[in-house]
Amino acid sequence: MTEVRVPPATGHPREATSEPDLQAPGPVPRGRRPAPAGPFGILQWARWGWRQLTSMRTALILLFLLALGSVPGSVLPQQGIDPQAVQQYYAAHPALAPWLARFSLFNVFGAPWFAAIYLLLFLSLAGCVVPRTFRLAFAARQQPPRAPRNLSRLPLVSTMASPLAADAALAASSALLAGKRFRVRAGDGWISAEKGYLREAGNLLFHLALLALLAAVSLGGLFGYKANRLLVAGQSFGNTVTALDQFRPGRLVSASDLQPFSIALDSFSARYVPSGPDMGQPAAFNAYLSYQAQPGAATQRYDLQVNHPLNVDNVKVYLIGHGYAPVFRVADGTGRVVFNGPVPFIPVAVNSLMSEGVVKVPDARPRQLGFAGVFMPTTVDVGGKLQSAFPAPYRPAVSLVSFAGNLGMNSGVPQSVYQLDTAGLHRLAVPPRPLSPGQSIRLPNGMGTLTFTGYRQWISLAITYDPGQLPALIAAIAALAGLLVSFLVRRRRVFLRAVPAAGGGSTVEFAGLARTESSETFGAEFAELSAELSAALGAAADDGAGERGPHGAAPPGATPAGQRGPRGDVPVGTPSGTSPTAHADASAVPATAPVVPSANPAIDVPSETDERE
Amino acid sequence: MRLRARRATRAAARSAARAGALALGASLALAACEGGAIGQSTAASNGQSFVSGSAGTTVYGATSGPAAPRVTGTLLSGEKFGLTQYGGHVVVLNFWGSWCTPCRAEAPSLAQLARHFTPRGVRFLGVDIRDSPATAEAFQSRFGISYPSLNDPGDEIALDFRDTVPPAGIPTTLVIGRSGRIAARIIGEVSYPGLRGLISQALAASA
Amino acid sequence: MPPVNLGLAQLSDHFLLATVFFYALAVLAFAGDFAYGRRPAPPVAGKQADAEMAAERAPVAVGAGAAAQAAPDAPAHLAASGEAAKTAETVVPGPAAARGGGGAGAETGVVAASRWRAGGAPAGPWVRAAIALTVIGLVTQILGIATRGMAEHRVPWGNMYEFVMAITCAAVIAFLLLLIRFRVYSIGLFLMAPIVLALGLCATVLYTAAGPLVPALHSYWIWIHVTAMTVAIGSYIVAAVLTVLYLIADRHARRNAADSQAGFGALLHRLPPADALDRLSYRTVIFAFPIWTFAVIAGAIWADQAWGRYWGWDPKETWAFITWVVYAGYLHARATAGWRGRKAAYIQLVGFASLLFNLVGVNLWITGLHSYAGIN
Repeated sequence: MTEVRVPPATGHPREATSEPDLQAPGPVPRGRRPAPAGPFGILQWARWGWRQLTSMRTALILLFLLALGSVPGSVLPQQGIDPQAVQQYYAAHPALAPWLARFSLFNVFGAPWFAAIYLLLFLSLAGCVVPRTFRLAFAARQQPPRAPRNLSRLPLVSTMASPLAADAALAASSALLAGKRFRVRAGDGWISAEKGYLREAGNLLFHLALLALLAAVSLGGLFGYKANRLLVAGQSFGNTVTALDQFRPGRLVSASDLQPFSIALDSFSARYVPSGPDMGQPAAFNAYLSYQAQPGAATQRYDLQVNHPLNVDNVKVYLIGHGYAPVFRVADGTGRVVFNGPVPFIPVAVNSLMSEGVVKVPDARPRQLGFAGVFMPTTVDVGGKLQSAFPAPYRPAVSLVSFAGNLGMNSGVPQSVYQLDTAGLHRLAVPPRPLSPGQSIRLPNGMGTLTFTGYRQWISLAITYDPGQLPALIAAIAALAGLLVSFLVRRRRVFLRAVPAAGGGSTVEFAGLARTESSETFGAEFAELSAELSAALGAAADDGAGERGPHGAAPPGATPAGQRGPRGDVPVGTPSGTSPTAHADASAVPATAPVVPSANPAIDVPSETDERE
Repeated sequence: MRLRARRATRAAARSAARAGALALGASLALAACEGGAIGQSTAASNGQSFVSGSAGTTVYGATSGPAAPRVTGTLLSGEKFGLTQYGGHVVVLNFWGSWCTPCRAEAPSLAQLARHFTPRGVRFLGVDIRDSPATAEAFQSRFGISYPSLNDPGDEIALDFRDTVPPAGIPTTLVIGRSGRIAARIIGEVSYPGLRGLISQALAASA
Repeated sequence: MPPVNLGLAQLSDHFLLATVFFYALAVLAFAGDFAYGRRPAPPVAGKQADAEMAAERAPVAVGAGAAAQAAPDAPAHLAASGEAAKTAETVVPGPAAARGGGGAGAETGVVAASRWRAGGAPAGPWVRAAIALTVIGLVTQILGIATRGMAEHRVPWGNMYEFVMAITCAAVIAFLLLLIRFRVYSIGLFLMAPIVLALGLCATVLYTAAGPLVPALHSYWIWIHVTAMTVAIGSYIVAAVLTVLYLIADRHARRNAADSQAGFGALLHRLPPADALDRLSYRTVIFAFPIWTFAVIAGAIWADQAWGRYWGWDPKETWAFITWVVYAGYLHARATAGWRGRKAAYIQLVGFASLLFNLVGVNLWITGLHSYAGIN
């Protein structure tokens, strides 16, 4: 009766645990597989490699490599995020930079070695999780294991004497447990019940959702695209490659895959903080658009703002910048108007929106003309230098330097539209003077005239199409749900044995086991179950061998004295506690067994032990 | 018996699972290695303000290529125009802009080809993108371009071609056969001999 | 946006100072408890130290039933149930000790946790004072955060100063919840001391005047994403403190198995056993990890709305990812044989380090879209 049984050492090759079941048990061999004799064949190497890949240790190492590999991606400038910073890094570290580039450290997240890490990790994950999913599906209707022979070895045991016959007691218990949504299995003189299968399902859902997330991200990368377009007020564009300033397609995107919407910027208004310490900070932007989802569709209007993208035909259009585009009219030496339109200038000062830009007039006669300068929305003269004091156009002016000669545009080599290549140009002697709207520069030698006719505003749009975005969101939410389920649901088993007792009735032994780590709450649950069972079985008050104290009348949470639970959530100092239990050794075989229950074949896989019966 | 069957099913399911996992891994590898998946490798913006597209010539065949869409618009001069007015002729359609340096580089070739082939029944038409009429006309007079161009500030004409042979960059030149089928597309600066050969092919093909 | 209410802003600063004051007093009170509070009864003579430690962890909470039923040769002191509540901290050699159940000590952290849960440590006067001071400090801290928010007419976490205020507040709340559930009073000293230091940094180096939010942060997502991050980081702080204590206790237990009461051991004896610390830390991470996951997802959704893509490997995003991966590694390690215990604890500390870098380093040293530190 007071035997102490230390659970036998586990013969399991990989020690599974009672912790959240992230461990991959793999196919469970009974005992170790003997190493094959002779040299390893390809197949055996493959199997060995696969087993190594899907082991937890490999997963851990890959996780760390993933984290470690991300570090350079955050401290070094990345090509895809800030190419100018990369250029600056090259300039600052001319010897080191090419070496870093060789290891793709300026494009870490697109690097082959980074891809190798996460692909291996997901392969390991898939190889572990997918078989377990099948196993869970097959086991969905699997019965709980048989009750162990000696219930006293379990961590939580309670004994009660019931006036009911053994069979009736078992039937009543079975009904009670089934009512509590346990999966019940009845045997000869015993009942086994289990609850909490959802935990494994949640765990698998989480990991499968991660796989789905990766697939969704790949989907976006293959079929999605990003593009930019700068649009001056009054202009419109259609979503074609020829109309976009930048186009970064996914691998499988071609020009005809672009959604054929068109967008026109009717007007743009910006509000700035007029005074105080934040003077000049933007307060609100409104870009009033008209758009058509397809050519010929109805025109709709939209007020585009930061944080409020336009969603047209599953493509998202974001407002990411704005600025000024002064309008110029240039007449050349022959008097013909050879240029007439807005020229976007790029802001260089955020608070005042002073902007820089160039005007290129390549078809002017007799010589090509070029102008470079600044536009100031609110011009002020600070000690002889012109600056802009405020981003709203209260006093717009433009100040330009004039050039003539060869702009270098005819050779076919691409040029930036915001920069002037002055190699083939010579500067014209024009007295420097800022122009207000309506004013002109007359170029010397009959080269022509430039008139600053007015200004408009422009916006820059980011156009993003990512078909994997919604699947990624769903996968992420599913992962979170699976995570919560796997953390909150506990898997527990209870067993009952009823033996006929002398004088009619039966002695019922009720034992419980939490397969996962959450001892305290299971202890409370066990206590409740115990109380309810004893009520259902009509268990009588104390008598000699190992019954409990007063039942039913016990205050909630008080221990039926026959229960001892080393992990039990039992309040200390239960006053009623002098009735002995019959199984004192249970405290001597403390939680070693239950903490690692699945490592203990004697308890967790009772079919092995019970086969002796 | 049932146990063996069950075990066999499970073994089969396991190997199916492994195969599936390998396939998934391979496809993801494909996506990742080619730079699409997680690593968003983006082209640096050099401010050139247009997408040059990947240069190249694609030949479809004057009798077998996709039918060109209905193209209508306003010429730079202000008149309305439709591509049907060139029906029955071989048409060379060129998307261009005066600000686009490869367009400027190819303009002399186009002008010369136009002079050469127009008496032979070929019609040239330009589609001008993101230019004001004044700037466009200055360009045309500069390079001696005698054929008209449609003004397409809203990219409607480019959108018209989206289902067939979209202009995948600037400049793009399409050669359309007599039957209205797109015979060839050149992305990027055209070369005189290259375009000449394509026009001759289209002329020689039966309508 | 109406201008900042300077009066309320100043009030908020006063509340911060009061918070630091009360927390510092709480630290002193916890230290006083360490020095002068009730000590556990001396160990039963003649037992091996490890058996005694094991016995200490034997089911004392079981109640008198088991104890009375204990093997007859077990020392029976304290079996009387009435005493158990007050003296649960004392050593009760259960039957396991009698049989030299050394093996029983191996994985009985579970037991220990329940013992502590069951009102293990008595709350002496020092502890009561410390907790009272902590609660007062928490109230002033909450008031400080609230008045700051009212002064600025916006959510009071928009720069690093406010954020550190918020996460220390979350950490203290998490600590108090742990106290209620597990009564681990003795870790108070080790948690409140770093918090006082952090708040001190807040008041000096990190301080920024009340002002409006950077425009890009004008979104309701700041309530969701940043709040979740705050709660998660506060919990991770508590978990990290617990893990450090676990490592110290475990190292000492291994080294001084024979003489666990001498010197440092006496100090450590006041703390929960190493296994209990490890288990508590684990459960705290279990609580914080889904919240961190949710915060990252919410951040991605917000980023998509604001910047046009849901993930762009911005440094802050990257380090949040790294932190998530390392804590996931910790959870996996905890489930893997051979990696539980110290190795897993180190992994958690690496994760915490990356979290700190994410909080501080990324804001101060790396520029990206997330640079809202407000510090120049």
